[in-house]
Amino acid sequence: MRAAAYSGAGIGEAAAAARDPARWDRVGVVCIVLGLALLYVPTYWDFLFGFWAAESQGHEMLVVAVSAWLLYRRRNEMRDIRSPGRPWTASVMLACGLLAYVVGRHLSQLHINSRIELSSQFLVLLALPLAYRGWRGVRIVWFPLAFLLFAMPLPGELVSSITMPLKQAVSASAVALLGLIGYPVGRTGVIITIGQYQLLVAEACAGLQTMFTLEAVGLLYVNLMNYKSAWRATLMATLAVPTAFMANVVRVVILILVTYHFGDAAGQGFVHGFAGIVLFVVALALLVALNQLVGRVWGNPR
Amino acid sequence: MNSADKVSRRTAVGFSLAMGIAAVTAAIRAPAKVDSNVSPGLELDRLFADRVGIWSLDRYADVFVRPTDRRQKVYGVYDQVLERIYVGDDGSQVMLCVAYGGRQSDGLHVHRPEHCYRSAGFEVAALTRVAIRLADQTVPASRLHAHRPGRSEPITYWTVFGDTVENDPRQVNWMKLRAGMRGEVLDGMLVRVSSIHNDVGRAHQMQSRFADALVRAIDPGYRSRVIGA
Repeated sequence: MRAAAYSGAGIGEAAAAARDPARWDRVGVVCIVLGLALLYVPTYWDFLFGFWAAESQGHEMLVVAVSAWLLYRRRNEMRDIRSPGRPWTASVMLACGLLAYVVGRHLSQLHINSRIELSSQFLVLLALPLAYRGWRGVRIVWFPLAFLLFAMPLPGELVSSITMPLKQAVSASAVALLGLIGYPVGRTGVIITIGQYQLLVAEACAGLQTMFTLEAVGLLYVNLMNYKSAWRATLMATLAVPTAFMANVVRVVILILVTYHFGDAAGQGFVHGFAGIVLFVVALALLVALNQLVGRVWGNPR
Repeated sequence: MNSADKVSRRTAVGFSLAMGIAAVTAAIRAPAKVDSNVSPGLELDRLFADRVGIWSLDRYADVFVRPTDRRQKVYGVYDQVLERIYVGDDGSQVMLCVAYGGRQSDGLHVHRPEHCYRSAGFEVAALTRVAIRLADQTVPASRLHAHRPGRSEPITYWTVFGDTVENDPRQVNWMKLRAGMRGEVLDGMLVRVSSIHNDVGRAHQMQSRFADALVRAIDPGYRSRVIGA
């Protein structure tokens, strides 16, 4: 239903519509939704279940669903604003998007590159509000579309260049914390020694991908809170980063403790079983708590 | 239905038609599925000789080394991986790792030594792109120094895509995209030579000599697969 927000009844006919409240043109909406489905159901299918499945992070469908829901929430706002569309600019944008789609799909089916195909959806989706409501229409849906970025695979180079210092910092904090309360714990680089055990802090990408997922959750939370002050929103969005970091520290601390007290097998079981859930619960709880705190200081719940 | 509604619907129909045409075009132009374009006759453990220059295969180390696997993809990317240890007449030890993939997809650059050593807990320093002479041919290679407490490992490596040696990841990506537009998929090989050594400069020199001997020992007909044409 993500396209529901776009194709609108005409708005130039203000007088005629005075008694007849604006509504969506069903035929138009159905056409657009069908077109989008034709393009991107195969894309996401291949990305999630085909060759590229190894690149996916496992939360793409959730991100797409959330984006669609966020768009759906704005349908009335989109319908009611009075702003001229820019059908020609939009057509050019759509043409670029579709070209990127055809070329990108070719490359992704050759297993060479999946990003061009996935990127094309942003141009295609932007073209729709632009055609009907101009740049003001685009502004209404910027967040749901930006949120869709979290469904994109992360470039490997970026991942490894950001992950390393992050992993170092996470393991350093976890070890310092445990050393403080008297555990026999040490660290060289990303290798943690606890008692007779050695732990390598997660594989190449695991750490950062959870960071990104947590950042997505944080941004979604901020967006849904609908803060009146832009400063407040920015502050909370920024706080989502250290929150994700703290949640990762908690995860590593738990992993170390489980390994120390219950052995290596239990530690690995934790990594593959509950670590992800713990991460989310902790991150969300921290964010809610921070929100309460900031609300107190601000003197306003929002 | 008034005129503005009609314009609005016409735009929607036009847009969705364009989308439909793009979707159908992509489906029709879908490339034929190629399972693998592994070069025929390419077998890493036969390609690389047991004795090269003053170095010969360490028979005892062989036990600990993963053999070439032809049935399954290694690390999800490679068709063949060769890991060997050579011992020189002067007592020097060299580790050789060769990875070959018939289809070079997006995932390979993650496996460049500067990335994979880092994710294995090494500090990676002094990454430089150098030109080395291998069997009278100039090859753009990369040198780096991976170290962690108790282990200092200077590394020399190079990568071949199709029949071009290219060590700049951006250029490699561009090469792969261009080949893809022609409907081709490049095969690729990563050759990594390393040794446990505290003197980084001398180790790199020794690795270059080893690499030169290694390439000279390859059947000339297959050399372009390893150092490009």
